Amino acid sequence: MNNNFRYDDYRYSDMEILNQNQILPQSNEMENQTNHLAEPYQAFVQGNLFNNLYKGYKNYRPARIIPNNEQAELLLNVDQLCFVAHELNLYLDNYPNDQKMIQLFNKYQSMANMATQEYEKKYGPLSITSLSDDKQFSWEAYAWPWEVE
Amino acid sequence: MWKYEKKLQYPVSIKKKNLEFAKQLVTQYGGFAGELAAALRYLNQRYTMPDNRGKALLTDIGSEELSHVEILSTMLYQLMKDATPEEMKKAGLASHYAEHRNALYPLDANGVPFTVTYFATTGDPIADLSEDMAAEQKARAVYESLIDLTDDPDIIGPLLWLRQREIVHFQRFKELYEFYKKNLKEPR
Repeated sequence: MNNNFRYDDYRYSDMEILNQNQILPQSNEMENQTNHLAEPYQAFVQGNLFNNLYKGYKNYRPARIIPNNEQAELLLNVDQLCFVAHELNLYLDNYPNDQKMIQLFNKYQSMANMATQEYEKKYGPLSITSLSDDKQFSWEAYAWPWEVE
Repeated sequence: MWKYEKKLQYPVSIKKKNLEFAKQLVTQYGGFAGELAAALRYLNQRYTMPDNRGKALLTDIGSEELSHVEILSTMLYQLMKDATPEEMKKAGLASHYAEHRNALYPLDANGVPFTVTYFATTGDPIADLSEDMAAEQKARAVYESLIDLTDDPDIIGPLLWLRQREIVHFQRFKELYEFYKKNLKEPR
């Protein structure tokens, strides 16, 4: 942990890249990606934030996820917002200079964080770093995600 | 490092035991186009990517694949839950029961154990990303075959979702491949 960190300008200036400040070419297809974004629920159930990338199989439609209690509803909210933030994250890995998408990432990541806190207040920690009740080790007090109810 | 989140990336709730299907599905856990191979492939390739785009994308997709391993594991666990030795035997899983009982073990649909030869690292970003694009297409094809083999909506839902993730990952790898093809100093 005693590395000498360098936080200066070396993010996209690696040895082998020819045009050091080159932005990944924004082809016509890639312009206005924001016009193709699905709403969080739809994005989550179809497994794809980008409607223009979505390809179905045969005549199958994505499964609808219908929460049957408050816990499932709050978890669905966490899942769909985390999913949108993750999709934007993968996009930004390739297009790190897309300002519109950076703004959207910030928005959805912060919504995902709030939704996570809301879930955890009632239904236990989703992450070990969320433990706050020091009288009980609540990490193992709630069901594991592979258990069937 | 990694941080565990105590939830699945996509929910799984399979109510019907189905050992015959588990025997086929296991290939997407431990087979050539499986999620375990995908996760390890990308997470091993990321160190020798030429710039931070590649390091970020392979880290992030590799990490997502780990959560797909968990989705597959959950499906297999639920499909095999409470199966008796007699039921395992009937489904052709006597040898699995002998060695692993009802535990998970990464195999392909023919019972061949997981092998590291499923994940290639050449150190050449163009070769590695071509491999990754092919891997995503192979996984998509196998998910389609598996969907063809079942009519249980509790199984089809997650399989359709995992299949769609292959399509998104293919697109991202292709974009990065094209960027490197154009911009790497040494032409490949």
